[in-house]
Amino acid sequence: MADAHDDDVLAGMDDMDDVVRDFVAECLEQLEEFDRELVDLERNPDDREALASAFRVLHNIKGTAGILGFTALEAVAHAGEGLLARLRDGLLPPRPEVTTAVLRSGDAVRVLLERIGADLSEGDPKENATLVMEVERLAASTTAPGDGDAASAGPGLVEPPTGETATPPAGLPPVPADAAFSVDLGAPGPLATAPTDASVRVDVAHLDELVESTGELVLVRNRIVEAAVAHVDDPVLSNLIQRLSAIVSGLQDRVLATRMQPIESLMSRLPRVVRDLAVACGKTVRLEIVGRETELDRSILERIRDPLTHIVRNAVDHGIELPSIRIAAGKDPEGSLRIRAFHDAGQVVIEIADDGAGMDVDAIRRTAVERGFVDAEEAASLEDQELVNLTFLPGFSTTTEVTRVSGRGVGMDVVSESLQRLGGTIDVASHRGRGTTIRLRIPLTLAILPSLIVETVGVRFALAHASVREIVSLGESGDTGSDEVSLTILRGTPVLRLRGRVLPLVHLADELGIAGLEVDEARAPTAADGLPEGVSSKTDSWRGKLGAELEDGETILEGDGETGVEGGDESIVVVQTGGRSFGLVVDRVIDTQEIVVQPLGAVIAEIPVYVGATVLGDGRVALILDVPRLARRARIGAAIGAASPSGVVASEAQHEDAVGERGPAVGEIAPDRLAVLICQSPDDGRTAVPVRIIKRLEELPRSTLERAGGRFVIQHRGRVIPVIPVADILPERRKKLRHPELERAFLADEAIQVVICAWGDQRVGLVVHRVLDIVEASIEERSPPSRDGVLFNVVIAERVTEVLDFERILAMSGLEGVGPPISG
Amino acid sequence: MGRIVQFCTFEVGADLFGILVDEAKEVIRLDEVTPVPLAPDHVRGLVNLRGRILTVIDLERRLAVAGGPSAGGLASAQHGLVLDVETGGLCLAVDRVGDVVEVDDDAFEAPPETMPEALRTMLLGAYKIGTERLLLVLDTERVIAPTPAA
Repeated sequence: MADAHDDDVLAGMDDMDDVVRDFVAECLEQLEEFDRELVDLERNPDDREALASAFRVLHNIKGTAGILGFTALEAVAHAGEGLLARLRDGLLPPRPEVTTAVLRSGDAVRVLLERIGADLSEGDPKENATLVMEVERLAASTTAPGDGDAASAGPGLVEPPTGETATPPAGLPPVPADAAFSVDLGAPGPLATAPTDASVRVDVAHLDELVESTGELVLVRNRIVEAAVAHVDDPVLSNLIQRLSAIVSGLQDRVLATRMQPIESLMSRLPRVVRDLAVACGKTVRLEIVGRETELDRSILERIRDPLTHIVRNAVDHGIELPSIRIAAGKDPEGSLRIRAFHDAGQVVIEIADDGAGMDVDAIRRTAVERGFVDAEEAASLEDQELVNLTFLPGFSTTTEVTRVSGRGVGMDVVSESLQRLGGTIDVASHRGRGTTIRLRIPLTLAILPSLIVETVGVRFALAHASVREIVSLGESGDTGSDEVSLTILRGTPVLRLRGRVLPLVHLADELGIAGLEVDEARAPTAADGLPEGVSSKTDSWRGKLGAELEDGETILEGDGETGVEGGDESIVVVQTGGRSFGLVVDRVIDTQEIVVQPLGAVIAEIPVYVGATVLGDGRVALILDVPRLARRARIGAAIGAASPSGVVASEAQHEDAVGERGPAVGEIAPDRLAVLICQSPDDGRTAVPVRIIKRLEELPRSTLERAGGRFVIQHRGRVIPVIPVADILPERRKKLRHPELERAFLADEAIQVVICAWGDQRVGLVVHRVLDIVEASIEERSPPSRDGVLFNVVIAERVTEVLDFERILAMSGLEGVGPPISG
Repeated sequence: MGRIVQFCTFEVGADLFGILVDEAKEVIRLDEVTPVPLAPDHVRGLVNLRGRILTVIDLERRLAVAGGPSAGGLASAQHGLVLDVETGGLCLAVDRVGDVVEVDDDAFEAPPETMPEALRTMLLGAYKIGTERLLLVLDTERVIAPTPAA
């Protein structure tokens, strides 16, 4: 190896340039690692491994810089290394100013490397003289008294415990020539044993071309496979095609993998960013990063670097409070910043959560009015979440003064825009006094997407497999053919009941405005050209059919072969987005295909329902549906005020259930029938809450739960609402616990299910273990209650169910008189 | 005698249009166009050209040209003129594709004032061909510029 490199070096200037560029690129990578190790070190001074690793980085850079004749670089690296050696040997405590000095050396090294990478020159050799002197002075002056080596922080000092050679004086040749191209001199490490030929640097443009060509190859393969169907009786051909198919699939996987990078490379700078910013603001912040190994296409990685850094800076600068304020608020003086990356439904999610002050909604409200985004009256009526969403509007920023660290005129609006440009989304959930959680969802648009191909009114669409949970076929007559699945009407809207869950339904054709486009498949393209006006809605036709049935008081379509739905052989694809599911009604499901995502042209890229397009196996083009945005468009799963900008979804905490927002409906049910919400208790008992008193169903994060005056309350839509744990009032029959639900949720940090009930003008939240279903039950056969707080018992779905006596429950919780009942 | 310029010509409705020869890549038949619901009215859909997806712009709608064979009903333009556009594959749906025409740059004039506004804003100018015919030069950048969805 050594000889080979010497030859390279001597072979000519071009080769020399390559050697230097490789050196620079490799060193820059190592420096990121270096920064992280240093910040770790400040936190855990005993982390000898981090110390040794940081030491090795500077040591290697110094060695190679010497060989290549970059003296200024060598001097800076040497000084930093000297300081690190003192730290490592315990001669210097890892105080912030020491760490800062080491980090500054690292920065200087980076600047020099970048300069060398650009024009092969170091610039002014004296530029860093002051820094070097300072670092050396720090290393020397703070040495423990009585230490024999006190006078010199220089080389050759001590025997390192890791068994590495001590820092050799600059210019001496104990570093072998090939050390420049391996990461490590002696200490064991994954890279130490990996010689240069184990990995090769490749121009990213080559990778992109490879991915593109492979994508085309896959498409050709798919078409060959289809074309060969006509020749199944030719064993040679079938065999060849099978081979081809397998090879192409393998090739595709591997080619795509080359462009995937762990998100680590994005995160590696953050500890340093957070640390520097925290020090500058006089704050202490603990940064926790989970999911560094999550992989993402590198082209996307590059494009989320700035938004992510901005969010992190914001969290430290504006989110986390000064230690004194935190102490006064009863918090740990050290702020916490958690970054979590994970794959979810074919997307990468990055969550940035701080435990700071949360967004100042009053300031946002004021700014919104000042800047004319909303008028004063409207602003006053906006919910907190809606106000938070306002910050995404272009030109919105609550910091009137541009602060040194994260202001710079770049606000959340810019972050949101860059995310949207990538086809990603951003959610913000902010709770005053408890912090802000920002969730970025980033699509893997460049990857191969396993997809479900569906068809509606003759047009095919692809749905990312990852968002599909199951497919429910309605069969010829609309019969679901199963007791567990049925269609029904809830408050005038068709919904799908699936194993006890109630899911909203979305007709794809309605959502896309093509419901009237009933055409012959072959002619679809031409006919689709003029989408007819005033087309009939599939939802309406369903509502008509199902509504008529409902008046008879029967559940619709359940095992009833006679009850046809128009276009009766439709399928329902149950899709999931975020934490919510809904049923997407399509004419039929074609098959599953691996598709290559192609971006949409500029003319149609703005349509917020597609993530791209693809060429199907038969050569036709299909649009790829963007499930989260489709859900948003259909207003599923999110409470978005009119003021919310498009592309911003409300936080999951605001998600509504199928009954949300429709308010209580009184007197629509015959007296012998009662619409109730069925809940499961922790020991699998059944309780029912009359639907007419229910305002909303919410799944709320534990953090919304607060103790006030000896009881639990939540803040909901600007009100403080007392909450009653049903399991506490109607205790479990098998085990007795005090506040079992809430205490457990409190401890486990779980989400809580809250049924918000209206009692006159008042709101009371019932905390239930689990919401099962909404049914209209016959209450003719009721039996007297077996305990207080229960109106009566009734058998629903073969289970004895206790129907809650809401008024009694209020009284038992000491909440009597909070308001009059709406109706007797 | 000015510079000689070559235009690729085509007809939409009764009008003769042209784009610079360098802008046009090839002519394809528009057989299977996948409609794009919610797209602007003038987007016919997507076609597959050897694995590449092109967006088809319906020129008749885009230019609001009346009187063509497809007027008042479903679009019928079956010829696609593929543009060499950096920003993504685009294809113009036209009624008939004509010859490459050479014109003298000196004959260039502004679009006639009498033209409907919608059409005139999409033109760079016009050349007189012979004695009666006008070759309308399309401003392709304007034509393919995204417009807010209807």
